[in-house]
Amino acid sequence: MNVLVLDAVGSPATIGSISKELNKGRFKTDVIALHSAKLIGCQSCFTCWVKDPGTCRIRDDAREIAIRYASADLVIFVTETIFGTYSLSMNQMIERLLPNMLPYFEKENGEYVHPPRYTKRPGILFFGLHSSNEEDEQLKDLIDRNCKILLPRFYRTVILDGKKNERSIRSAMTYAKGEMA
Amino acid sequence: MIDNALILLGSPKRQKGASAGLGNVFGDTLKKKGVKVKTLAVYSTRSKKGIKELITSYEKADLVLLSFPLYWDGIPAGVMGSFLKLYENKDRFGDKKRYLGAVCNCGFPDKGVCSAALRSVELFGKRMGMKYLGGLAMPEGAVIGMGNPGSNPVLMTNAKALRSAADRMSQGKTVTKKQVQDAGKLAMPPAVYLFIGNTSFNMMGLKNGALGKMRDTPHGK
Repeated sequence: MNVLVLDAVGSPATIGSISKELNKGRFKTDVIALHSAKLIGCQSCFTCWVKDPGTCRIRDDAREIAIRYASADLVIFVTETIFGTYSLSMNQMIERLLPNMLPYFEKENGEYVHPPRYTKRPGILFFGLHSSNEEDEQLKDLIDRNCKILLPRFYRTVILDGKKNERSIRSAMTYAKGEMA
Repeated sequence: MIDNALILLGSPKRQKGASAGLGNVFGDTLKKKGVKVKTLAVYSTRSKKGIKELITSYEKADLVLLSFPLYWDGIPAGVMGSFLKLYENKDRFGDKKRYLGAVCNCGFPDKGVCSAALRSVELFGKRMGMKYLGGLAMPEGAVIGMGNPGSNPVLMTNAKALRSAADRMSQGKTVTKKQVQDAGKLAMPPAVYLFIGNTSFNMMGLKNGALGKMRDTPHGK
């Protein structure tokens, strides 16, 4: 099982708790510090759709991460919550998953989307750091919307408020392991 | 009430494309109302000089209008970067009353997908202490990007709504439900738009010798 951890926060405690849970299973884990990675957002050139389908023309860390995403069984996103959206580096990274989508408009679950290019879909766990209640709710809404596009095998969103983080992470990881079993 | 407006273009296409076209419709209307308008492309404000220009332009503005494309149902990373730069400098802006409005264009026929992105703009405004005057969602972005949306015959209702919304904003007033509704009117039936969209992607693929590879899976199954 390939696990990709995309960390846009840089909190050793959070990543430590996730790694501790992952170490209990047979996972090949890749932890990527997005907050210090070399990446920019999507430039809307559509090269990955109509020139070199499936591959981004920008040669930075995001290009490689999108490639790894395509073969992952579980992707764990760790982000701050600001203005009800992701940390900047997470925002940039999600935009750069565009090569993993098809250009065509297709209807999925009643909505038009650009559907995933790959039939293999990872499960997804989102860990968002608590901001305010309304920003947390907005982040959850955005994640729900993004998962209508990414169509993961399963997903769960957990807001970490600092009080019971370790228990919340353990519970989410147990859920993911169960889904992947 | 509004003397200076800052129009932020939130697309990597900078001064070209749908976001710029919609920003111009707003800008032209505001200028006719006697408002001084400064237009900045957020993707051109990443250098030290660009950040300084963003901050000084914001400092001067009474009204900030963001025109941006929908990316992954949210705000583009370039917009997020600008928001963060402004938020980091919040203390230097004092307690001057500022207004915020937004227009979001999406590539889909359903304007409802813009709601999360517009909400993020509103939450940014709240953190900055701005008064949010509302957001307009415009579907079928590919049509908007074809030439000047202010004079495109299939966008007459939408453009009229944008102009009247700009008029309201120039007075510090919230946009009306009718303006939101008319701005979001479809330029063409969804089936036609989607057919043209999918055909255009095939044409681009054909032009680039990639038509047979459009559904390739080079990095997985």
